[in-house]
Amino acid sequence: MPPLVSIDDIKVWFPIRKGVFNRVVGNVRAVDGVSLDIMPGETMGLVGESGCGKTTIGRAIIGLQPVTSGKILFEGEDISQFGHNERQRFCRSCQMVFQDPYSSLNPRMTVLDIITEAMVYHGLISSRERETKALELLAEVGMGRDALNRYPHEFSGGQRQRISIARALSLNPRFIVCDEPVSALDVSVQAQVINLLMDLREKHSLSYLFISHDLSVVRLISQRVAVMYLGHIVEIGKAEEVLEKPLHPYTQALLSAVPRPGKNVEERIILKGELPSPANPPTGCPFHPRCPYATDECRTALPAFVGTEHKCACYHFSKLA
Amino acid sequence: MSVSESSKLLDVRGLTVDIETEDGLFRAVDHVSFSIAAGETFGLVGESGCGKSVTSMSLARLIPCPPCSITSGEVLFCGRDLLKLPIEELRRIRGKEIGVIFQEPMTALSPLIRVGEQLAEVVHLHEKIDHKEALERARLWLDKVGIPDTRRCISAYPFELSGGMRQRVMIAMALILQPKLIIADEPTTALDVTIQAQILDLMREVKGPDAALLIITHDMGVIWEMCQKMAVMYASRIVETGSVKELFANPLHPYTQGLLRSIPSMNIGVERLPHISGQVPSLLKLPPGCAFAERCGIATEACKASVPQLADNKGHAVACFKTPR
Repeated sequence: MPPLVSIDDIKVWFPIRKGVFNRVVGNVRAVDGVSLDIMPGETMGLVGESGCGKTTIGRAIIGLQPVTSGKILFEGEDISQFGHNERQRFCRSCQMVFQDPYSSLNPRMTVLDIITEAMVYHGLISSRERETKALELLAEVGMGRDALNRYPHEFSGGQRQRISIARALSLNPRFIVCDEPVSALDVSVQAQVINLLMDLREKHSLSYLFISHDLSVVRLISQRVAVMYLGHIVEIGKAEEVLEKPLHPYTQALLSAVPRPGKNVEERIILKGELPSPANPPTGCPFHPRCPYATDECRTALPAFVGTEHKCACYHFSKLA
Repeated sequence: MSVSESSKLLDVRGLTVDIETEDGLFRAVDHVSFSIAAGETFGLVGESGCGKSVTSMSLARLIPCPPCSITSGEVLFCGRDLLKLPIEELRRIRGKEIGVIFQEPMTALSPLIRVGEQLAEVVHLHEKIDHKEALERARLWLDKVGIPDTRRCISAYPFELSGGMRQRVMIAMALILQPKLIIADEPTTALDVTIQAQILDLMREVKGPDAALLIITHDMGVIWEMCQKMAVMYASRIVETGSVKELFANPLHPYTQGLLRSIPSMNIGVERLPHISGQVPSLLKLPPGCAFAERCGIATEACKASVPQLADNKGHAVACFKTPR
C-alpha cells in the first residue's frame, strides 16, 4: 500500500536577519532532514520537547509552512507543485486541529459560522443547509443545538477543542494533523477528547499525525511513534516498541522523566543541560552534549538510522537495548 | 499519622475566599483546612479553576483585594494568624519566612531588572547587608540551583534565559533567605518533562530538611513523586485529603478515583481512557448539593440535596455521602 503522506528529507530553515540590509546571518534549523511515511488509516505520533520542530513538520505537511528543501508527497503527489484546483482539493482532504483552543477560534464568529465557513467557501453546501450540516457535525463531537449561536468565549477549553475538531471534520478530510490537541486541557477533559478522536478515526477511517509532548497520550492513540530531537527524528517504530523498549538514549531519558504514580524516583535518568539552540546546533549527533553515552564518534558525524521496523539513529544503540 | 499541635508549621482553618466579578460574587475557596508540619511536603491537586492557586496565594495574602476578599478562616503560621497581622509585619514574613515560587517565571520576574539585582533586592529587604555581599549571596544561590555560568546570569535580564533557567532563578529567589515554608504554585507546568525532572530533583535537594513545601499542581505524577501528604480540590472545596500513599492506593472520593483512572498509563492493551463525563460546574451557579454530583456515577438524591462535609478516618478524610464510614 502506498503511503498517504510521505515526507522525503525535508528541511525547514528560518533565516536570521540582521543589520540595515537585513542580511541573512544564520539559520534556525527547525527541521533538519526528516523523512517519514504515514499510511492510510494510520496514526503517527510525533513526540519531542518544545522547540524540536514537531509543530513545524505538522504545518509543513498541510502546506502552511513552505519547506527549504525536500519533498512532501500527499497520495504520491508533490504538494508544492499543486495548482489552484489541486490545492483546493488537497485542502479539503488535509485538516488541522490546533493546540490552543483559545486562540484558534475566531472570537467574533458564532459556532455556526466557525464550523460552516470552510464548507461554504469550498462550495460544498448552500447557505440554507448550513444549520443542518453544523448540527450534524456538532452531534459528531458530542455537542448540541444550544451551541450553535454562541461564541467561543462561552465555552470551556474541552468544548472549544470539540468545536475545532468539528471544524476540521467539516470538509470530510482523510488526514488530520492534531497539534497538541489536549495539552491545554485538564486531565479529566483530556481523556474525553482523546476518546472522541479515537471514535472519529474509526468512523471516518481517518489518518492522524498526532503531535504531542506527552508520551502517554501518544502511546494511547498512535500505532507508530516518531521521537524528535532538535530538528531530527532520533527513533521511530511501533508505539509499544518505542515506548516500552526505547533504544535511543534520548527516548529513554524522556520516558523516565515523566512523573507517574507508582514510579520509583531513584531510577530516573536526569539529563544534564538543556536543548541546544537550533540556530547553532551541535556537530554530529544533535543529542551528544546531553547524552551520557556520547563518544568522539557521536561528536563528529550524524548517526544514520539502524533497524528496519523499529529504527534508531544512535551509534551505541546495540549496547543500550 | 497525626501531627501534634506544636509541630504544625502552617495550619489553615476554614479559609474562605470570595471573588467579586462582573457576573456576580462567587466563592473561590470554601472552608479549606489543612496543615503542614516542618520538613513536610504537601500537595494540593485539582483541575483549573478549582481554587488551588487562590488558596495558596491567600496564605500570604498575595491575592488582590478587591476583587478578592478573605471572608473567614485562619492561617496560623508558627502560631500567628497571617490573616490578622498588620501588613508591615506580614511583609517581614513574606520572602524571609515564606518563599513563593510562581508558575510563570517570565511574568513573575521583572523584565527590566537584571537577575542579580532582583535576587539582591530580596536580601536587602530583610537584612542590613551591603550590595556587594548581597550580589555575592545571589551568585552563590544561582550556583546552588545549578546555573552553569553564574557570573553571566547575574547580569542577564530574564528574557535572555530559557524557561528552565528562569524557573531556577525563581527557586533561588524563593530560597535565598531559607524560608521555613515554600509555596510552589505549578512550579513545572510551563516546562518540558526533562527540564521538569531536573527542577523537581532540584527542589527536593535544596529545600533543606526543616523547610516545609506546599506544591500546587494538576499533575498527579508530581504529587506522587514529591509529597508525603495531599489534598484534592474540586469546585473550591477539599474533597479528599490524607497521605499520598494512602490516597493513591485507596482513593475514596469518586472524583479522586476518576482523576487517577484518567491518567493515561503506559500499560499495553488500554483501548479507551476511562474519563469523567461532563465538566466542572461554574462556580457562579454551583448546585445546592455536592458539586461533583452531576458528573458522579454513584450520586443519589441525598448528594444533590446537601453538601457532604469532610469526615476524617485515621488521617484520611473524604467528603462524600457514598463512602463507607
